Amino acid sequence: MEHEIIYVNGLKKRFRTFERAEGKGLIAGMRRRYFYKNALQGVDFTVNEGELVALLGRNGSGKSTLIKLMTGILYPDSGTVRVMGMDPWKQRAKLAENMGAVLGAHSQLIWDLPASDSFEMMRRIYHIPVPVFDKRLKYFISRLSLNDVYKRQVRQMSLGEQMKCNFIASIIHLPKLVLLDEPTIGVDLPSKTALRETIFDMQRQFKTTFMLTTHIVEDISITKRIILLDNGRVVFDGTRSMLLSMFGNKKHVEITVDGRIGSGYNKLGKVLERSDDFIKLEVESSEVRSKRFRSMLNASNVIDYRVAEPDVGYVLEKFYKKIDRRKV
Amino acid sequence: MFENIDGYYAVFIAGLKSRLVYKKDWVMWMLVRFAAALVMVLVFTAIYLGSGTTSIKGFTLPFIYSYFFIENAIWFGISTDILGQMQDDIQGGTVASALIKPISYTGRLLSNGLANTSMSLIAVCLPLLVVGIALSGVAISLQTALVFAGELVIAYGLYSVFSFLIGTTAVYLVEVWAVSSIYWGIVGIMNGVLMPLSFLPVWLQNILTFTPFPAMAYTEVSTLLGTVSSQYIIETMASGAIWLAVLACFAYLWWGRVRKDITSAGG
Repeated sequence: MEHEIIYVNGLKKRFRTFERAEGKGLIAGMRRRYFYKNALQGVDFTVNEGELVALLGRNGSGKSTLIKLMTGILYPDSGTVRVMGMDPWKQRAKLAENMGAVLGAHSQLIWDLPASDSFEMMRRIYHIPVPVFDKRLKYFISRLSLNDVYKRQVRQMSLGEQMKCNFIASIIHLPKLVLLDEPTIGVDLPSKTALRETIFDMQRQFKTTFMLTTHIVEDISITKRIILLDNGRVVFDGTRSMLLSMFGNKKHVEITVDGRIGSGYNKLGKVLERSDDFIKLEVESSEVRSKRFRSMLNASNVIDYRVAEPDVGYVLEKFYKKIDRRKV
Repeated sequence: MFENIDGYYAVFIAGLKSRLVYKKDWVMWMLVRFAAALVMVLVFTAIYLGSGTTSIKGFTLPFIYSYFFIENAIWFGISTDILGQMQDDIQGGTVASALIKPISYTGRLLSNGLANTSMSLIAVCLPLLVVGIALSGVAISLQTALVFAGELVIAYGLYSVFSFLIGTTAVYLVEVWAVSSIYWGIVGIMNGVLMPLSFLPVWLQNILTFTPFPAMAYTEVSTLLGTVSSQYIIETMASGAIWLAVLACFAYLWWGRVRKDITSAGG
């Protein structure tokens, strides 16, 4: 039986916030209109041990609030959160021993010191024996290409280097659960891949549970399950393939030709992108198997073509549009 | 809080290391505190010479000189940076990073604050204290030194708990420099930093005996200079310790309430 690591039921949280009152000029600019923002409006889901879950949603949809409620940083207005069987608010410090979290731009590193000093601080905080710590650190440092970096003052590092070091500081104790709130901001492409591979490795080797919020489509590729938040509510909870199939059984086809794209291609499906010698189409899966389609692809002027699943980013965009239409 | 002593020690060491990065800044602080003491010395020299008196309320001019050097040493040494840390944490949202570690937030503040105090004591207070004691010409006995150390611990506790309580207002006000300036201004008058408390009207001195403020600098200087009785020292220390216990309990309960209202970066 799979062990439940996160249990969230009817979770609500609202904040008092303000916006500038209407009008121009200095006095008008000083007037504020206070209101309550419902960050979470009754969120329910569970996550089992070893799962790799993407928590997605637009800006302000409640993702970060949810992460902070699960770590015990914020106090829930109502509802239940249980992480590893514990109440994060009441047992925050105990829970933190088996949890790691990357909270976007909020670094755990000490700004004026080399990252190595922050790692050493973490070693003591999490009671990691020195030989074990040294071995782990060596592995993470080489994996994320930080050999020439981690002994430099944090303030002198690039944003991407800081993010990678912050990631190490958050997982050096090999927690059972890792909550990652936009962990790849500012990270270069090779390091993004290394970071994703590290997550994947940890999940496989140690059965670490990961919950990841991101706006970067490639980050989602490592997750099997997607929880989609909108306006403080879960609007989708399922596998990636379930999300992709929500808008019909479609394929994305990219065709490059020698010369100009003929008008006949337009009739194969919905045109997503087009230039003189390139076209990207959204086509029904059945159409891809049709004779007409195959003959088009086998035409002598076709240099290259690619048939693939629509990417998650594209499907999410459609999903959001659908939600917005419903609201209207 | 005492379950992870190693963790708090790690925060203390890291705090010490990060303060050692800016050594020149500590030299500047030492000069600033010397300058602050000298300003008071000049003001009181003018008062003494202008009034034609050699002693006010038992304080001769050389004693006043040493009073302000010692006072500045204590004031700087025990005033922790807890308040500033809390404002930065809440304003910048870094409170979230602090709360995801398996140590208490208040314990982290105290450990980091202690690192700051250790640096202050070595880099700023000690030179001021040496100058102040040398100017007074008073020989400090071991007994006096021990009593002074005990008083310093109580004063440090009181400063820390006051700073923490004012720091919690950042949860609601975000920017708390004005509040902290009011606090420092009031405490500065009532703890004897601006003038010895014996210079104040008797009715105000009587009121102050019921407050923790005399234990927050004045008693310490007076102990070193030998200008107050043993009974006064014992009473002030006892009063300071009781205030510390009461305020610490209140701070503990208050933090439990305030934590619920924390927000970090919009969430």
